[in-house]
Amino acid sequence: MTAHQPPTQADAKAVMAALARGERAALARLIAMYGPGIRRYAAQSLTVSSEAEDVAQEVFLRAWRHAERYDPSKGAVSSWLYRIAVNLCIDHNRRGGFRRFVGIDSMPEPEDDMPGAETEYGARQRLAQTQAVIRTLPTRQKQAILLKAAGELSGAEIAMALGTSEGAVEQLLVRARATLRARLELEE
Amino acid sequence: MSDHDNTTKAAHAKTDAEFDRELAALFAHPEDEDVAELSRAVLSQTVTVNRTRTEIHGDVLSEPLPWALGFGGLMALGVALGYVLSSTALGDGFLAWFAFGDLLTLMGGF
Repeated sequence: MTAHQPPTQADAKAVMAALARGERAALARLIAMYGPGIRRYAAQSLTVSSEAEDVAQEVFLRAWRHAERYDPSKGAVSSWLYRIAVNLCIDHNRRGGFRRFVGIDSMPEPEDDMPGAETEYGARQRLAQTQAVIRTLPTRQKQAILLKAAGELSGAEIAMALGTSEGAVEQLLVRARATLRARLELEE
Repeated sequence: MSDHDNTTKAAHAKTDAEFDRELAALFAHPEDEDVAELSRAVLSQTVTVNRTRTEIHGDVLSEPLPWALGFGGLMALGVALGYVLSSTALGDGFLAWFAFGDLLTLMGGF
């Protein structure tokens, strides 16, 4: 778990209200609140993780353009933002797949997710194994576990972001954890 | 629900929470928290700036169809004018103006 505290709902809603009034300072605050998590989610969710920065930018640009569409009574700000991120990642992966199929883009290169000499080889290997198993999960399970682990969302927030019920999210998480545990134990 | 069930459920929940924490730690990098560059990039895109010639050329490359249609329209107009002038020079004025009128009708709205 990261050291930072998640933003409170009241803070986030106040920021969204300011954003809807066109205050650019509110956009900077929103990025400070949710930027790290959204970038982390995108990096794990995208086929080409180096596109995570572009996706994160697009999420916040859309939030800026459509801030007035956010309805506080319908859910948390985090759910609204992550819903945009989930859809953008799906679009990017779909477009990227087509572009690679027709040869416009090359296949994604294996990426160094943890640069730096101090990074332990074991941690890298564990990350690579975990990412490989997550890629094999069904889409909804993958989205749920990544929103939980990379976005650090609650069950209710994930449910809102994926447009489903909390119970369904719990089931998705149980299945995803079970698959991950089983496969990672096999590989160890 | 028995005490044993509650204890088992609590232990399982704890294990799940630990598993999620480990997964989150695996994905987290210290540099993630630095959003200065992301913030700068997003804020710069929200500012409306005067468009330079280079950016307009960029439009031609990214949206060629409207520009191609405009170019095609101008070409057609040139052809029509050329036809009118050459026909007039040959003394065939009436037919030429008639054809020109047809052409303008076809291109209506261009």
